[in-house]
Amino acid sequence: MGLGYKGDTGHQHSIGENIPDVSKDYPVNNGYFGTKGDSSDNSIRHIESDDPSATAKDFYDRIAHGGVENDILDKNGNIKGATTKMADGTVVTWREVSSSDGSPAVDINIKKSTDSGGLKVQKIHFVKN
Amino acid sequence: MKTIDIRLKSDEVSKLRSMIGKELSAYLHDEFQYTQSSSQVVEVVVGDKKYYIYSFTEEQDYFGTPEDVAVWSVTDEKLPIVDKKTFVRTPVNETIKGITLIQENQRVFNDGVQTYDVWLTRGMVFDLGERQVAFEKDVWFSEEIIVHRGYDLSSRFSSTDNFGDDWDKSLRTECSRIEEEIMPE
Repeated sequence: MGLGYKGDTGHQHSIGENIPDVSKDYPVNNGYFGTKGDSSDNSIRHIESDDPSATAKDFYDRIAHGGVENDILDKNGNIKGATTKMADGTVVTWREVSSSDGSPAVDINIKKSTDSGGLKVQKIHFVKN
Repeated sequence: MKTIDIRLKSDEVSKLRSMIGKELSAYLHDEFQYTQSSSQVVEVVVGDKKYYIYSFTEEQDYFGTPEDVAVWSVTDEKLPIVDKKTFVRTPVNETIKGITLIQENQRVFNDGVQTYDVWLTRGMVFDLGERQVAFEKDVWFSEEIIVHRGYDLSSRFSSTDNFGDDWDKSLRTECSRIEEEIMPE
């Protein structure tokens, strides 16, 4: 991690370039993936699957394709996931395990994005069917 | 009403206070990739002493559900992550005239009754006289630390207007900030 572009794409992707592929399997509704979770905040989403870990990794690898990826660490220096910066300024972060509920999660932060392709800021938990 | 306070603690504010009047030699951060932000840590060198602004997620009550929320800390303790970084060093070599904390208050009301009162430190502004350097906390789940350079930097922080935009319409939300100048020793 940290060298080149994720997936060896040859150029740094904007998140908008990845949405057509990702949305084939993970539909986008009003800027959000998945369904609304239990929170009052609509930006917290759920995607259900038989294998949440594999689904989270598949989703992350595709939505972050062509970005610049680095590990994220916990306070002890252990790898807890990865974060990828896209050409439009979007930051996508994958955590193998959320400390809150143990589910894998992917965050999409478009706050500094110049073109998010219509996506909104969101945190997606991948949960068992 | 539930009250949550994840502002910098008094000992962390004391560390910032001890920097006032000393030289900000440099700050170190990730190489910027389209956005001027550093993931999880920024190093601040004051005189010959190193301090670290960390942003790590921890489990918090996020308005009714447990979520991983980014929480800031300021310390001189070097965590293992620092040695795993390839930092870019930005020299400053100017005296810190003052430091202002940007404290944010988020309030949620259900049927007119306040249910949450949340305080967090949105960021800090180092006043160097002719210019400023500031560090801003990103969105609630993000461990990114946004770096600003220039003038009147608190006005460049993200707006509070969008807080609660995509929440259940049955709830009313308010968000405001105060600028809290740290008094020198």
